[in-house]
Amino acid sequence: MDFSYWLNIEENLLLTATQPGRIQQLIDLSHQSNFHIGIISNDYPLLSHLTLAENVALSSMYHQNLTLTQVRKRIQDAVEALDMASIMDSPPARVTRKETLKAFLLRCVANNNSVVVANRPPHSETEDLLAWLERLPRRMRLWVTCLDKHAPAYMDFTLKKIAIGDARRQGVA
Amino acid sequence: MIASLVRGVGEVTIRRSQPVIHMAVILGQTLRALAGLSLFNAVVLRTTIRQMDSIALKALPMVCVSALVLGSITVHYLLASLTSLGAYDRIGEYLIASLVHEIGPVTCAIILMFRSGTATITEVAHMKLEGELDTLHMLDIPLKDYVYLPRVFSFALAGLSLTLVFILVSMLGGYFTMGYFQDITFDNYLDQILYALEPDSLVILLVKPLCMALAVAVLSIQRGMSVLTSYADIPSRLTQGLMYTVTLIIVVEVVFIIFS
Repeated sequence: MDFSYWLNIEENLLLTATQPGRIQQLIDLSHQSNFHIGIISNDYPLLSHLTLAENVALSSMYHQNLTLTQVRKRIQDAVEALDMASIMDSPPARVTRKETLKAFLLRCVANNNSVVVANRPPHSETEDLLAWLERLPRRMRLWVTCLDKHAPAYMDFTLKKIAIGDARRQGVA
Repeated sequence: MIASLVRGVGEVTIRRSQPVIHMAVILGQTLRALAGLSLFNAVVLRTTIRQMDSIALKALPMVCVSALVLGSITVHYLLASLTSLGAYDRIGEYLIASLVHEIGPVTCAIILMFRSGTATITEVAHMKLEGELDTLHMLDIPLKDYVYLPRVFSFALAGLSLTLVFILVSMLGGYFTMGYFQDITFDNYLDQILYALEPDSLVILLVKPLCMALAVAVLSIQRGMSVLTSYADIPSRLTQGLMYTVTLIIVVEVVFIIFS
């Protein structure tokens, strides 16, 4: 997997694979990207005993030893851009699916990720994610992963298609 | 025949010893996190304070009520028996031996086990089944810092402080509830207790509750982590956890009896 090549591409990507294992490999490698790459996936849910704000701030608080207030101040613009200010103190169980997705995105913002990987999101969520990314104060790219056979469902988005493990680095717009 | 017997014994030994090894790993990683001053990290400190609130502070009313009931009975019977025998000079010694050495630590460990141990097993199992432990891994937050240290530390502190509260409430409350019926003044009662306090008793007062609380904490986390695939596993892990914890409390008790 050529992460450095993908990271140099400024466009949003559609990363396709023939097998789910290849996508999982990409997700696993993303963990080691030193927070360049954030992940939006149901496999990594919000912690149920924390509020949305605490969930979003958790990683920054731990790795940079910041207080919750400091992290909230840092991501205030993004929170307001996504209309999340009024529910940041709610627990994850009390928010809608869309608000949970926004919290996932804010978690990536708080972690200073430059790329967000959405693991096999449904069509409607991909549309939402692209729209929300446009509203964020800081530019972040979206990498959507999916199986080859599901790729046609994402064709109406402006995503550069790349096959995971494609040694020829062929991109098809 | 012999080979299959040896294989069978080996498999059982490995299967049975796995939880113990896992517990040792949890305790070791907790101590490493403690030595690495992780407690001063903003997230770890916040989680620890939250755990202390639920494990120690919220258990306080239950500990006080238990201490008052058990203290009243113990103080009443001990004072009645010893004063009727004229053994005034043994009152402090017997009270220390019963309340400080035995009833206090064991009762607090049992309260911790039923109240917070079960909650910890369920919480950790829930975190595992819901993928929240994977989230921590994704965020590069070690389990030793977020899951182990806050809980083990809170249990240890709760064990010590609740036992201390139990002993104070049982001794003082016990006297004022039923003890003052007996032929002994409060001043004399206090003098007897303070006179009977020895360094050994203080060591037991600190070390025994700590050992029992650590046993409850580590076992609860281990049982929670051992849940495999479904919520249906949790009740069986809870029951196993309670049984194992009772066994561990008895083991600690026996060790202290042997070495004290």
